[in-house]
Amino acid sequence: MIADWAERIRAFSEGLCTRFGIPGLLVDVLAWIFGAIFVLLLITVVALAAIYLERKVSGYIQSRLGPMRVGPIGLFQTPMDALKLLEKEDIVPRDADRFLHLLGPVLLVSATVMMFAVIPWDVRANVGRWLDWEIGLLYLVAVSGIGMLGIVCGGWGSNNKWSLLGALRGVAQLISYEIPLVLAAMCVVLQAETLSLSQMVEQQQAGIWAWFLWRPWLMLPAILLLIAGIAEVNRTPFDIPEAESELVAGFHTEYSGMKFGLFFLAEYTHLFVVGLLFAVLFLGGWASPLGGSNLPFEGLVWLNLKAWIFVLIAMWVRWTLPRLRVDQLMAMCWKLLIPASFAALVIVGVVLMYA
Amino acid sequence: MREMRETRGFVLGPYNPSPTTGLVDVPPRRRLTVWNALWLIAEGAWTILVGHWVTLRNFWRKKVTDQYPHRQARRNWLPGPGYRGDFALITDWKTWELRCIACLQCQNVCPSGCIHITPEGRGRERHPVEFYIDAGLCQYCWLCVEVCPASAITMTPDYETAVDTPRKLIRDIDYLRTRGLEFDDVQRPLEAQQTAEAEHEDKGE
Repeated sequence: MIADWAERIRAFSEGLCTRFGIPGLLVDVLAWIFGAIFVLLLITVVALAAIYLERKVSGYIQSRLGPMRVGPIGLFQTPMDALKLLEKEDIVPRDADRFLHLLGPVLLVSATVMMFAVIPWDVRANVGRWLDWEIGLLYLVAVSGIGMLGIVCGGWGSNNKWSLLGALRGVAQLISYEIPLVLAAMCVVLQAETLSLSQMVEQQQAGIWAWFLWRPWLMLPAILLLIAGIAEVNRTPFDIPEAESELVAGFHTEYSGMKFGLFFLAEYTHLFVVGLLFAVLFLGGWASPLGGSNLPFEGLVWLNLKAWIFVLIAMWVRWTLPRLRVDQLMAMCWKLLIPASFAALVIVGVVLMYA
Repeated sequence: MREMRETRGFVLGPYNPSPTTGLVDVPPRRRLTVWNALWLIAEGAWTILVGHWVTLRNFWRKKVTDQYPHRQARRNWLPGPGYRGDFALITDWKTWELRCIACLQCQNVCPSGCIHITPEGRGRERHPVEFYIDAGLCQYCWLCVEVCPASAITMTPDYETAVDTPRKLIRDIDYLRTRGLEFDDVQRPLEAQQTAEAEHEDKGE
């Protein structure tokens, strides 16, 4: 009755292994491979779609049409750009630290991809078999911290002052904005009394009015998570690390070809993951807003739709607000968002204790 | 509201007068209370919301992009008077011949040397046999048009003059005559000059 297609895939791979006499451990390996293929396909499609959407949204907001020439309504523009990046020469500066220069984009992308591991795509449908952890949220936050290392590696390894400045700014920003992000997520943890993402979704399963977003005491954390989430992915009101007017392109100044493409991929994938996180925490994850899901893959569709809501909001914000100065950025985080998120935490705790 | 505008002069620490100007108009010094801070936050949030409303309105607005070679919003659009587009030799409407008297003044005055004329005949019979203008060399300085005693050469407002080989940039006499016939009633050199000057004066420059 409930869409347990993930269970079926697992049962299928288990059956396959029993049929051919493969030991049980390999069942998990097979399931992981399925999951990895799924995630890699997903991030490719998501990044391409997000870049296309970003161009269209920015164009429409500026009263333009956006890409229109390559393919119908410019649909092939982004795949063509990806192809162009693939065939471009990979230039590494002469005095760069070649290893760190390579490690930067790789770390950033792998940190982003690792975040997909604990996202509950449907009922009991995580990427790996045992990855529906009790501490899914903790893992997500911890892994997103690895991305910072990628930025530092890229900025330091490029041997370029703009890159280094961008990387330093980026790290300062990411560390600062992780605090309100985590505190806002903690409010949901207080509400759900669990760190497991799939259990959080199960509590919002009943329909659109069961979403945590509609609890009055969780509205402030939702706004805080929105702001801090946009800052976490370095998007425009907060894109200090790659401020074009000051730092050329920040930490990816010295990158070309597909390494540059990897930075782009990581940026849009990270945006999507934060959208998924927002959807899971506040918008009921894979649960249908109508209550009860009956079709196979329905949860997958709902979760993606909800994540795209966040992505669209982030784009809207990006093409509306100008970039903050560094000190304004830090002041906003430390003087506004962090006190507000602590206050939200206290409010949620008090409300849950006495209500 | 006005009261709240005045509260923008908040200072958190001791006021530091500007070291460059010395005496400054010191804004009213007020303590930043919690309520005032909350009001400032709310005001900032309101301005951000207004900004988002503006972008959302523009998102749904009709787009201004003219996808020009593919589609043109205004058919047969021509630039304003005084625009220097493709070249033309003007045909006399009585004799049905070119006005050009092959005096070679345009050829001599041309700073980039893009005009080549082969004259023929003497006196009233003098006329050009060949008349080449190399559009690739031309800098559109209008000197040839100014110097022409017969008002025979001009530049039309036609801006779609792209070609696929450099050879085609060299316009011959037949091309120039055709252009002149096409655009004969659009713009005469003297008139165009006068219009342009009049417009220039209208702007008060």
